[in-house]
Amino acid sequence: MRSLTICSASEVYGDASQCQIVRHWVGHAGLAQLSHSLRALVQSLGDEGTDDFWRRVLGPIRRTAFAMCSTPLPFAHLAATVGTNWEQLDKSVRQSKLLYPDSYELLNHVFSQLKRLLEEGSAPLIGPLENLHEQHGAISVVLRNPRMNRLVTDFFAGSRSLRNAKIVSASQLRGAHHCAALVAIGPCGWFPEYVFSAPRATIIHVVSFRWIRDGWKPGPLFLHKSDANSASDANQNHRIGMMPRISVEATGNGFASDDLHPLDLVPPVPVFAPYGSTFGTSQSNDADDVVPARLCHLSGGRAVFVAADDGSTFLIIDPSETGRSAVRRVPVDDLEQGMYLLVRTSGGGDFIAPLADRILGDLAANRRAEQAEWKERLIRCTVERFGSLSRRELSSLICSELKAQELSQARPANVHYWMSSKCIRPRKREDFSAILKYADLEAREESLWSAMGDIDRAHRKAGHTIRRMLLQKIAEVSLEPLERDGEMDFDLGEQDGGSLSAYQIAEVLPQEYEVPAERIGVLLDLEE
Amino acid sequence: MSGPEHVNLQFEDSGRWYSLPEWAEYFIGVGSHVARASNTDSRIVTAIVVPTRAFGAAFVSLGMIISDSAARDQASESAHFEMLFDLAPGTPVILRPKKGTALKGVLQSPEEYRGQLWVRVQVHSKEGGGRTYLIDESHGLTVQPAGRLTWKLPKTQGMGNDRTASKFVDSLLGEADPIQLGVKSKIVCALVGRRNTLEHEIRGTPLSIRVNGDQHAEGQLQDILRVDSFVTEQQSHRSALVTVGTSRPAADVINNVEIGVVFDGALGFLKLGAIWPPRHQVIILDRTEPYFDDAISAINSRFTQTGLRDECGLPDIEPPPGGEILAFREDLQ
Repeated sequence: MRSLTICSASEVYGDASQCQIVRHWVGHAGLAQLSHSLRALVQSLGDEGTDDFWRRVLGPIRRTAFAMCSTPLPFAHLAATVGTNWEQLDKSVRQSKLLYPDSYELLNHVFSQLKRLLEEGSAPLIGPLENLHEQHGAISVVLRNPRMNRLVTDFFAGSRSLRNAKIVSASQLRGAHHCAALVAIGPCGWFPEYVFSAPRATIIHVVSFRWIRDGWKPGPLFLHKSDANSASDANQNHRIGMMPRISVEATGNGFASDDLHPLDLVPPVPVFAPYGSTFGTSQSNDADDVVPARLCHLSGGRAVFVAADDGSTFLIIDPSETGRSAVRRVPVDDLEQGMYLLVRTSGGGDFIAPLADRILGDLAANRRAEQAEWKERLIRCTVERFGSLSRRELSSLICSELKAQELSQARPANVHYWMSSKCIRPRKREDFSAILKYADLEAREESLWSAMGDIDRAHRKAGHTIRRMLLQKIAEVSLEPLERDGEMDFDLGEQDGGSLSAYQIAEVLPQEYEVPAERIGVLLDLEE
Repeated sequence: MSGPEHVNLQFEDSGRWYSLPEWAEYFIGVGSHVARASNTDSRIVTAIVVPTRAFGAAFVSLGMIISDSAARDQASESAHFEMLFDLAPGTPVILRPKKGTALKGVLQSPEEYRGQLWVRVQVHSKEGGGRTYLIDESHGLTVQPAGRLTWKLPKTQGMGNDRTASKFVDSLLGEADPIQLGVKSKIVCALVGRRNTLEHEIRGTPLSIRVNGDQHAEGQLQDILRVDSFVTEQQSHRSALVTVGTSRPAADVINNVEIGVVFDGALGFLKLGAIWPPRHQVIILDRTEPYFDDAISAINSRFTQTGLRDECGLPDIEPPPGGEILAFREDLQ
């Protein structure tokens, strides 16, 4: 994201002073019925809806229905692209007759409605878009689900009546981006509030289906003294500038009592159990190799676990920075919403270690064996002493002993991380000395520290190589697809880390999870 | 209640100069207003929500520094004059005999003349005739110690000497601030934000001010703000930059801020908002930024828990479009 100039900032203030938000309502009886039936089904299931069966059945149905309500594509076009396994779904619906007879009828009704709509080839959102395109000559369109951005961009490119329509992401509407007319597909509540309260256009058309409520209007954010006695204080100490005006297309905006709330249709995001219960099942033999991790929600319903240790760093692209700072390594606490986290989408999540091993060459096997050895020894010593406990419990016990002996001030989470295969060595030499002493490896401290230093240097060199390659790539290509889609692939060549993908961080959850080390850095698709 | 501080700054776009927009004047006005407010028993917290925070913190800081510069009073003039008396003869100083001119000088022994006390500043070397100026108390602020700088006096120095004076700074501050000469460091305000963004705004954005008819003197906000991170070793500073990633600013930045702290964005405020308890705070919140909602909650929480019912006022103009402003006093106890 480029820094704004005084001139472009003035343009933003100009948009805010002139902006008009116009609501347009779209009708479609079949889709309205499907939306209502689906809500009724979800409500009737209540907590049962989170069961595995229902997540597998309802997940694709909800995603497809939501796509139909939020994506300006013909339904038949959507059917071909959402990737739903209809055969499997059909089988599950039939299964539900036995498993959940009370819900079968409603589920079957929803499923039949959905299939019928997808076959009919209707495109209720395209007509209003074409009208607006004709009216303005060119429009920018923002969608709720950024995963659809590329698909719709391609559709617009192939459409004569929408050739000057351009997809923009909500993220792009944060910066200097300015458009003459912006069209939001769906109610205001589907988008970050700033799309409307800090507009990057002089007119915003909100094109939404009639049965979805949309009551958003600008209002005060700050609490202020509004009681009668201090009315003058309120004027003195609190003021609101000119805000966008809202108008409604002539067809009116009265809501019916059974209209849906904007979030009724949005597919839910899975919730993971926090620290204390292990996420996922380890595929490796060492099922105990778990690490404390933080969950990063990424753009487009994806997520990734990152090691929570304060010594681990992550390669990110930060478009708000310029020059070399645009690609840099940041500690977990500095990961921020809006940054783009680099993830390897194939061959395991770790893209540094394989390259580091290539840099180590013949030394790699030996050094990795030494790395595994001191950890195994540490774990074995602890287990012999305290019995077969979880890594988390063992870490806590080691930590208490080290503190009692005044050998280290490390936290249990640090010790937990040191035990995992993800860690090379503690950052501080005194911590390394303390745990080697604990593991009865005191005599080999010097050689192990040096050996781990070799790995550490190779990792740094690998990180540096990848960073350099990325900087080079970024200089060569437009980052618009990254900012528009919230994701972008970078092919660095097999020798330099292979193919990496950058995903925009939507949120870094504050709580910690216990995650198998092999799942760290692995992209999770929350829609699957 | 006060009106905005009006400055005649211009910005450049496509080769032409334009007057600063109203939103920029508003930020300058807020900075100026806060700088004039007392912070002995309570401080003012001013939260400004805007559709883009670009240049907001930089212009608030400008307002603070301009206002601070203009705030010299008789007491400070007297104290400054007495300070000059205490300096040893031979101390390097900078003398501004008139607007736009700055001369290198060396202090000589103070003297009494016609019943008045004077300091004498030599500006030409002995070889050049040893010209001196006699300065009385009312002009004391035109003489500033050169700090760590040392020099040998030249044979002559013309009145058009502008090596150490900037027409841009002179025209903007007028007679108000002799410290503009850049010889004395102080921290009028601290800016908390991203280095690259603030550097672009403060050092990378050309500005100008009309000096004579169509003549423009060009400069940058840095000429006034003198942000410590962007000055050279030889230059003094007047504000401090605290980057968002900092876990805790240096002690001198915490202890020596004179007027207030300007937070450029939510993250800096959420991370470092509890530091500098006795100083005014201005928080610029961009509606589009991450952590915006968290910062709004934090401010609302402070408003309800520690906000006083005292009036603290806002500049007497409408907030910028898309803006919302809340100002309240917080008890320093």
